[in-house]
Amino acid sequence: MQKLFLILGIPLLSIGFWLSHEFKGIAAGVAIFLFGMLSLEQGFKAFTGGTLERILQKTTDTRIKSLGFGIVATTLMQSSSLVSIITISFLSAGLLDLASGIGIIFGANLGTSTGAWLIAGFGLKVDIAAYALPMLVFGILFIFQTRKKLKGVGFILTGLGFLFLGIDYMKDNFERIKDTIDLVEFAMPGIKGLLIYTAVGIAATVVMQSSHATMVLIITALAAQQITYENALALAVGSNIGTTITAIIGAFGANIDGKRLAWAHLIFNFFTGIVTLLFIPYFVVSVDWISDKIGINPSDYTLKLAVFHTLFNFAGIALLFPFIGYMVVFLQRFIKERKISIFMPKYLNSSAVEFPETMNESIRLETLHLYDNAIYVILRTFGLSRRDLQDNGQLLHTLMNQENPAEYDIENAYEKRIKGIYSAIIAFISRASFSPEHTPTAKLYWLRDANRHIVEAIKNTKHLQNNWLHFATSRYRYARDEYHKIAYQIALLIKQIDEFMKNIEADELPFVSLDALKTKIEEDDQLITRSIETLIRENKITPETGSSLINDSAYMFSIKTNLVKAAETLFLHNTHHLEPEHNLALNEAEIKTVVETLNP
Amino acid sequence: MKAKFLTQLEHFFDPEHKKTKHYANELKTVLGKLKKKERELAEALEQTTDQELAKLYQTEFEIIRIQRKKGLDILQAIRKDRQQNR
Repeated sequence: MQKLFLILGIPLLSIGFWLSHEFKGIAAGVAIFLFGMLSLEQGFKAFTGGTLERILQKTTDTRIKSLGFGIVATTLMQSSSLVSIITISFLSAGLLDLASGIGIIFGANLGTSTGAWLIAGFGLKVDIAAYALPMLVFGILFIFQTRKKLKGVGFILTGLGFLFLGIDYMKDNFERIKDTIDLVEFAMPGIKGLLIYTAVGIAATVVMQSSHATMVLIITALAAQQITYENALALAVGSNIGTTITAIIGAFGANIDGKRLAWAHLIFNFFTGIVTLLFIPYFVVSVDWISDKIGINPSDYTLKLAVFHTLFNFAGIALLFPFIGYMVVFLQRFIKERKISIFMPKYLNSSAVEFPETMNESIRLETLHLYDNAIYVILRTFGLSRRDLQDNGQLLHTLMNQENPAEYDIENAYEKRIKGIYSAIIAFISRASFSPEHTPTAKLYWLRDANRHIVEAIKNTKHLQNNWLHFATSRYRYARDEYHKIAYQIALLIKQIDEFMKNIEADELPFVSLDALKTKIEEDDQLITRSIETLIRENKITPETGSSLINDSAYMFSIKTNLVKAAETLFLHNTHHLEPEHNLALNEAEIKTVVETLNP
Repeated sequence: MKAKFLTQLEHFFDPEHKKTKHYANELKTVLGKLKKKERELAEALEQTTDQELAKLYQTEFEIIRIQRKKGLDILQAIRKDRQQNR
């Protein structure tokens, strides 16, 4: 959708700029205004992570308080989007329930109408550009400060400066356009006009992703008498409906409650818009009456538009606020959490607990299942698959030619492929340990440790991932090569374990083969550490890169060691090999001795 | 003669002794395999000209050397223990 706007928008805007100087000015005004809003949001974000959250927590414990918070926060921040985003993040963190979230969104709708008041009452009557320039200068001064809060103040000042400047641009160019074209010629009376201009309002807000910007555009055009009052009302209703698109787009990445909140936002604004359109003559009469009571000049249509904006949002709240509870039930029933397909245990069933041998074997097979999934996750992290392991040359080629390795969502993969099985195994072992039929055996403990080693290997891969993504395609050759070496060594070890497993029946002395693997890991670790030290000494990499490499080679060492330990349990401890073979396997100190003998 | 017979009888009914004996026999089998492999590796090391392969043989040779030493130490300890119990 956004791409489509970009493809269509650039040529259309370019034609517009070429045809009309005023159109260029108005578009620039909108752009500056939107930039100001982004800056304002950035500024307020500096105050999140403490102060804002504390206030939010205290002021949203009842629905009425939530509504009040929505009104006040949006009035102060002049951005309902920011309030929506904070609300969604609070919902996701479980600090807020859906009903309170909906209350805030309702309040934010009323709060955002204060923007229309500010522009109509202040922005058009005062030369706001005069305030904009000093604000920008002071804002930039604050942005250059190192303290986060001062920086935040800077962004807020700059944001306000740009908002004012944008409004001024729009105001100026609408004034100028009056002399060349008369947009009033396009005015449409009656129901047709109402519906078409509502649709235009929706479209404009969807394109600009800001009801605030649309409202400014409407008010400035109305002030310059480029649109009729009647059409401006329809545009305002349209902008109120169109603004929900921001929340819906924002909710794509949110959890289920965030999505429900976005839908609540849509329901509220849609409902309010339809009610307003159906009863628009009554709203017009009410606006005239209120304006008369508060002393607004009957010909001051911009302020009357602000009254209208507030009034119909207030009407929406009055109609829907008592039904928030029903809305929550409705949303929870119709927007259900999509269950991600997680890998389930294949071999664990209650009948296996009856006999120690079947129990041990089912746990071993399930651990093997977990091991396979873990290998899949580890290889995918480095952009590899098991097929790449067939040929060492091909493996190296695949690693070196990853132009832009995609970030594999290891967190999600852990939830999907590992956690379910791992939890089931642990639960099964615990159940077996307390079973009266048999006492826990050493094999059971070994298997539990093997599972722990597998999970540990995944965790270390996750730690390694950040720098891998950063350095795998880095233009710094030496750092890049070292990271390729790390990934290659991990993949190679996986291949060696696969081969070891395949040949285990024919291998007369499998413990010697396994010790050889352990020795190789130790040797590689020493070699890579030496290589990094040399690169730092010869100024081929910076000490910072060197320290990252040292940390990551430690993660590599841990991944490899954990995989070998898991393999040892899975393929040797539970097989028929003779007990003395286990006792003769080398310990860590003996492995080190072998490495030292081989590399004096 | 009578005493030796009684000791043998005692050992026959002692499960711990039986277990140790079984373990020692298995250990001897493993040590035999290790010795055979060590000899094969020594020969292979002499014949190969491939450096990478030589490194691999050398590693396995070292591992077997330590494993054998460990095994022989255990076997010796078992024998000593047995002699003391006689």
